[in-house]
Amino acid sequence: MNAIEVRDLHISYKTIKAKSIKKTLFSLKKSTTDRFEAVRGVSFDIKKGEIVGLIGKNGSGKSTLLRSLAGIFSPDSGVIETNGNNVSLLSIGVGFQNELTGRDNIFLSGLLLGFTKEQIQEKYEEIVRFSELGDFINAPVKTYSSGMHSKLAFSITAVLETDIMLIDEILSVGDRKFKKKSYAKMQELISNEDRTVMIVSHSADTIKKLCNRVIWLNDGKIVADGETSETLKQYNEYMDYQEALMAKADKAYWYNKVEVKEKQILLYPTFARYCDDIRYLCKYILKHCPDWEVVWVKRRENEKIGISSERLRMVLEKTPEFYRAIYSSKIILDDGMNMAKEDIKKHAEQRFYKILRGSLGIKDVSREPLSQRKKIRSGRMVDYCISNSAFETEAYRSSFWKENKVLEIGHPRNDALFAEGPAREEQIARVRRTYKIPEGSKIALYAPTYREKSMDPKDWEQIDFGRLKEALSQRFGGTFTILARTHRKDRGKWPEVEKAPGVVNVNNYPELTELMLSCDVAITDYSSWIYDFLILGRPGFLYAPNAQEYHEKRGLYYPLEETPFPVAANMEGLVKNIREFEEEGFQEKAKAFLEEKGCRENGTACESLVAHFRGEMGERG
Amino acid sequence: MRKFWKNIKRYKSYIIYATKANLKSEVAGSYLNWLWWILDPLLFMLVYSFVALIVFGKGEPYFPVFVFIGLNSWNFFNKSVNRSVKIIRTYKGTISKVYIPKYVLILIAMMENLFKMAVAFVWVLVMLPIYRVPVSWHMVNAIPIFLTMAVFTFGCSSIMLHAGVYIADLSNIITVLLRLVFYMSGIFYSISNRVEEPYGTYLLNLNPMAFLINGLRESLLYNHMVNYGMLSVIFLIGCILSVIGIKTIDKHENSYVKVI
Repeated sequence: MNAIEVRDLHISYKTIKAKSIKKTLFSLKKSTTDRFEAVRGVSFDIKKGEIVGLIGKNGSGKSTLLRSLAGIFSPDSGVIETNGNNVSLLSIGVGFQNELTGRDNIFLSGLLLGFTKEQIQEKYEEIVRFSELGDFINAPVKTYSSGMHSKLAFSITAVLETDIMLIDEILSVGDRKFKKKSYAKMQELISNEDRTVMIVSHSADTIKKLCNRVIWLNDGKIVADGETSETLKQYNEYMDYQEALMAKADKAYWYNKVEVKEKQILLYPTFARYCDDIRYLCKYILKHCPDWEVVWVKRRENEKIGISSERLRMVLEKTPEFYRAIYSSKIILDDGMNMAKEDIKKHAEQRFYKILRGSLGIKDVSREPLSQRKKIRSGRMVDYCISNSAFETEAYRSSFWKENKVLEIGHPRNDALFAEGPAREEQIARVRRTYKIPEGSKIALYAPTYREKSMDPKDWEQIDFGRLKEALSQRFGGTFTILARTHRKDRGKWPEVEKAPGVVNVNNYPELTELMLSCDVAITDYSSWIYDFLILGRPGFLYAPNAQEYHEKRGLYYPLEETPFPVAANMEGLVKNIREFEEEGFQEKAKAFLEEKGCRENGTACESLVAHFRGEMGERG
Repeated sequence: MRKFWKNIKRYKSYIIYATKANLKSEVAGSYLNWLWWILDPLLFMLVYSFVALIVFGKGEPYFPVFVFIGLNSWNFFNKSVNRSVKIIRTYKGTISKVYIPKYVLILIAMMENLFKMAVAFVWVLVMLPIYRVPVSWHMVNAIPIFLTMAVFTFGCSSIMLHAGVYIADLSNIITVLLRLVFYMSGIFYSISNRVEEPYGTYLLNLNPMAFLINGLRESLLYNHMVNYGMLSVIFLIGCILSVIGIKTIDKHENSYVKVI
């Protein structure tokens, strides 16, 4: 049986403010009566004995709905049927008549709740006892302390036991002892199977503890109505989103509020552990540009990047601090499409730079799985695209950066591949130290790209690391340690690679470039890092069990066979390619490949880029 | 209107209890307690008798009773209307917690004032033989006059209740306005004897309270017939005001809480 039935309920307020005569006389306009619809078309049934939570942000119509169920507001349209049950509303602050005694107020409240005088008389002693008021019950309510006031109010509703209880925020009433008592009483009342309860609360804990069903109200309409944890989850997600919107609203505020700082550069990496361009440039700037301030955008509160400096400031994405930095930085460097996530209006003197993480990469940039809006936005916002080759410039041109200026100066991350001497030795040593790689062991790095959504690696033949090691030793001599790294987007989803026995998982190493420097042989499928690795002139192999499918679904610029690397479609082929690897032929092909792509990498990318920044900042020399 | 009668029935016990409680709370804490309900009008009557006889001299026949009838009738009307203007604010706490038809509040206020007036008129009955007022069947006419007065007061009050919610300083205006009506209702003097014609007739016919008070005196003291035509008109006006008031309150009462 339903205790409450609500059908298409509409409640609106006319927002006429109480006016003084003066205002009424002197304002010739007819008083503007804005109609505000607090509840718009709500329908639900509540079964007898159900305990229903009502949630929603402030002003979503919860209290109005509750009050209309209690009959305080009559609905504009729609039906509320309480099937003859008497309803009480429990909320903070109470409806007493202050001049009257506690006793009279008990009777008056009871009468209004629909009880007869006799019924109240029966419960009267219990109410007085529960309220702990003693002789004060015969004193006017105006002489009560606020605690006594609330105690009495609670006792009346608690003891008179209406069939339907509406609770507007769980009350914490009186001193600690009474609080405990009232909470226990409340739970006792709620747990009575005949009693129907509706609770409005902002505390997810309370709702979770007490309710078996939750109705989520937003702008006067029901958004969700169902099982507690599911509805609460949806609600929390929504509230988080709202918060993000609020932060977004700050955006415009900061645009007008801050001025561009001539010497501030903002670095916006896509991944904390896969952003070597940003990382190397950051280090370079901190070392060579003593009066510049660097702002680094982090994605999570506790993100560590392993670089520290007084001039390096971390800001968390989408916080006011973040927007402030965005609008106050002269230079913004984005290693992905991060800036395109939001419609950021830049100051005239600001400059946006963009780097591709792919460079000589084989994957078609224009087919990156990103929203069209982001792509268009990025094309509009970016001032300079940083390229390392004629090929990459063309990649920009053929995708979304048709009109933007391109700087063919190489990628900051690749500078390290050119540097010789102790710096390089130190970088290699660091990798070996971190993973305790035995002295004298050679290193092979296997780092495939991420799996596209539509492709299931279960369909492919996985790499056999035992056979791989064996083949490498046969061809290149010595023993091999294999480092495996999955793409940032795939972390933890590819146990065949990440947890393979006899393999060192290097997912957590921050810099891929250092791993490249450390390894003697590289293996990947379609990832573009291996075309950076080519600069080192060390052997590399492609293990691509689903090349055809990948090309169709993801799109490649050129067939794998046109790269200098031997291609294998299965383990058999990979082993064969390694065993038959021919050093001279490979070096020739590599040289030809880099030439053909018009590669401009020469180890001075950071220098050239910083010089360009200087030019924009108006610095000389 | 059917809803109105239904509500009256439903809230009957509430009205009665609230009236009693309010009356009690007024005298609670005083030494003489409920005796005040009886003493209060008596003492006032002594004051007015003194004023009437010593200060004004012999104004009208049975002058102290004359003043007493006028004053108490006026008080009933005046207090009821005055309280109605502020009544939603007075009961703010209650009405934001539980539904109550708002005209019920007026009825509570009227019941209280009616009780006080009734006690006063008991004194009138006591005084009639003392002043040797001849008894006649015309006295029965007081009953329809009281009824009309109640309906008219309710009509005025219900409209004032609604207006009082939206106009914050209406109470001040009404107090002044009622004071004016007070002097135009002939509480201390006889309109027909003291006011020049044709203004006296105007006052009596255009001011319902003046007419009703005059009617009470005519029937209780002077053995005269009441003008039932005019009485019916006022009754009708009272009914119309009441219906308008009830309908307005019914339509708007769910937004009162929001305004105050």
